[in-house]
Amino acid sequence: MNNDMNTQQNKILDDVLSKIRANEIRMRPKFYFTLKVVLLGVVAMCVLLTSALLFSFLIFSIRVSGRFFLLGFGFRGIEVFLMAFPWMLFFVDAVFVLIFLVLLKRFRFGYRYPLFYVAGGALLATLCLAFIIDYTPLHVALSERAREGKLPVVGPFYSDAGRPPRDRGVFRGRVIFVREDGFTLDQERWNDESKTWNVIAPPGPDIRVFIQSGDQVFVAGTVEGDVIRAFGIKKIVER
Amino acid sequence: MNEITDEQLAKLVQDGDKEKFGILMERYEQKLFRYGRKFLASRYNVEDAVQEVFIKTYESIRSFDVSQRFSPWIYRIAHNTFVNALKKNIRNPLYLFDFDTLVSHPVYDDPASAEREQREMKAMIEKGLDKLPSHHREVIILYYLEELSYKEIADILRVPIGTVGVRLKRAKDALRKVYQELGLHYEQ
Repeated sequence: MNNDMNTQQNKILDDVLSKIRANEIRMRPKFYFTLKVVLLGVVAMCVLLTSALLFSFLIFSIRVSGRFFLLGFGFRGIEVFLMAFPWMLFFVDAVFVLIFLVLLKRFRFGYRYPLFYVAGGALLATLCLAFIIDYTPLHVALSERAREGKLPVVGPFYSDAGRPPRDRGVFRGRVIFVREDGFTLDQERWNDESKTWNVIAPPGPDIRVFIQSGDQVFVAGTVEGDVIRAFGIKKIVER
Repeated sequence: MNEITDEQLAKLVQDGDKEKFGILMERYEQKLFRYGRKFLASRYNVEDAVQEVFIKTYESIRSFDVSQRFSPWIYRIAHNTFVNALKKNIRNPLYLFDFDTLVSHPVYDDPASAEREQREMKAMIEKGLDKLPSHHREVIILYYLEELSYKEIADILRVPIGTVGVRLKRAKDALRKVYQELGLHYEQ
């Protein structure tokens, strides 16, 4: 049996060598492998950039829509924040982070270290890049172009991003008239919608100390007809 | 020709000396057949798989970094080839995710006891190896039969070094259970 095995093995070596000599099997050139590594690196960077852009857009949309200020208004505000959070965008971004992680594992530094550390590093890189992008005027500029109807493909995302989640009781507008117990709000127009609300402020100090006529504000509360019973009011300070 | 290292031979092949690849194949044919027979558990055409390994090795030889060791590199190609062969032929999916790669595991090195254990394990492994799942079988083959280091096995399997130690321990525990089921004596 050993002789049969040796004969078979020799046959394999002879077959492979004869194919090599006949050029049926060829060495791939070095630049093929270099190109593969470079392409892999480029794809990984593109995925990282996409993930960071998506996350920075998420941060931007939370901020301009007024969702962010909900976190400062107790459990009720947190509850509304979680219900109004753009979960779909978050999960799409999570998929991109996972793809980035899978690509990182193709490199030696990606598999040499425990997955926990590599995943942490990938997440940190995404978050850092996202906050840097958010700090630039990119999203503000794109949002302006969307408002002017000059932003193809992603224009609708920017138009929707800045819209407060009215169905969750979050509104943005301009204060028309301030009273002791609240104020009249001219809701910001979206697609030619306009509405005036009577906002009842939450119990506490006189609202006229904090809010003046003409101020831009976010309001969170429950809607009863034309009245908003607010549990949170935030003055908007332009960056 | 025995004085020339595998890495030097690979460099000569990279520079165009195709015949030197025959020497590399001679050096590794027995090892790869043994690895293939044990890993594929004799159910598959090992000859075809090994031939495919040598073909892929030749095609990719210019990607080999001659400053690194050749052995783990060719074993990596063999691992991928045998894993693909297993995937094509069995119903159950391979071990796709290893939770042992999530966190760091310390690696303890005691050369004296490792050498003694190696001798004892080699004698016993043959009996129960084909009863183990593929991911346990492979790490036992690479460490005890092919005598590769933790670092080399980590490079072949593309896992952290600590994970190799954990996987090896689990494989030995699994082998112990196989021996108990077979009514064989397993020495620690």
